[in-house]
Amino acid sequence: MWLLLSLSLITIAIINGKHIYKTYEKKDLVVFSLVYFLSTIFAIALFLELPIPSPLKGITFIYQPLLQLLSM
Amino acid sequence: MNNQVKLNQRQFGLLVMLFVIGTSILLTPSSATGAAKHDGWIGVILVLPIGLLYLWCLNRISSKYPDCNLLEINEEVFGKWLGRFLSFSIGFFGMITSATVLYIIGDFMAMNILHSTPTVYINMLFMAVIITGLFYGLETIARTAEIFVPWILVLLVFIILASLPNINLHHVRPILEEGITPVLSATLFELSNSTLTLFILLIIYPKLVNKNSKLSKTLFRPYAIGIFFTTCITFITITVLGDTLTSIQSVPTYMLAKNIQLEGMIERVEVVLAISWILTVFFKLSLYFYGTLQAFTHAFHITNYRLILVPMAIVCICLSLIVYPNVLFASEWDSTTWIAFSVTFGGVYPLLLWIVSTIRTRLSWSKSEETTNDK
Repeated sequence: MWLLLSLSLITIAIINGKHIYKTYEKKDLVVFSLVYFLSTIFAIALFLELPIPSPLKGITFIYQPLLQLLSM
Repeated sequence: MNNQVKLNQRQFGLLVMLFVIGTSILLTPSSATGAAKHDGWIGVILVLPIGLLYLWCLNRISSKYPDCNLLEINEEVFGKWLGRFLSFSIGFFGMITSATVLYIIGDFMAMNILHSTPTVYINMLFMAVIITGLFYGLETIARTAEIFVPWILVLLVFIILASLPNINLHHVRPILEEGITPVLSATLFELSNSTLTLFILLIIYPKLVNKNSKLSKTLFRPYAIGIFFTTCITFITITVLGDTLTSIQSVPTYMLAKNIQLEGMIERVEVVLAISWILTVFFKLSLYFYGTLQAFTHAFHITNYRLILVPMAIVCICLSLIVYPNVLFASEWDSTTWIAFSVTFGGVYPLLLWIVSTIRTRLSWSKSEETTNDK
């Protein structure tokens, strides 16, 4: 499973990166690598079943006072 | 590269229509009847005047800056940093919304059609199609819409017509039995689902569309057709299944299509509905995701949205797996926080934009010297 995940992530990165390297400038490749790196970290964290909370819970927490005010 | 994209009015109108039909064709009957019981269809039809007014207001905002999209208006009105921050928040909103839509389609497929396939793979496959579509660009998606709209409409009309023999008007009989208040809450729900998210189309609308015909043709008529279909489906679902059965189903329209039996010849046509639904969701998700990518691109000044397309798709797939921890949370989120969330972005934010831009134009009028600098 680890092999499959890493292989697919690397393959996607190579194919996409090659295209970007040919079409765009060097700066853009750096941007792509950075964003891709971050998203890969997110995917791997999810794969390791780390307890990532749902972002909706944070949004609910922010809106909680407003909603309570409206319902009263 | 982005500036070469031009849609014509008809293509954009079709995109608006598909955006409105989108997820609501399958989910609205359940939520509307949950809020207003057998009067749910009145709640859905009340969305139409409010939505048309809303679209008119959106168009007023965008017509002030005909050569900018929403994110550039942001930067012009609120200044550089606040504008960028708002663009980033729009991106965040779009990301959350795309993740929820992806979750909904994955959940639907796993529950009803592909029973033993893990949801991750369905989400990945669906996202792969969207990556391909967005990689070719918005024009390609618009042309795809032109190809598929007849199919979607014919299949929907077929479902509606074939359900007509099963209609039982007793299910809706005491109209407005419990007063107007629950109906209005159903309206609010449907409004937040299909209409208030339309502001994300302002990223496309004034800038990337050829201007050669009237507003009614571009925005109002497709919107009205979309709401009309949603109302039809809601009404028929309530009259065929009854309000109790409709409100406890997660996808009542699919159940409705299962009930179709024409002379023992045409049976089990539910996949027909599923096909048209998958197609509409494809366009809705593409537009959301396009909006998200454009927002992030503007916020971080990236050259082209294609650079972050694949990484953001990976983030979207991951998010779609964790957005709803369980079904209970999903239903509670949909009926409380989601409404407030979408009102903030779809209602308060354009209002703020309008007020601030009006004040800015007034100020620049009074200081007549600075008018040339400001614009």
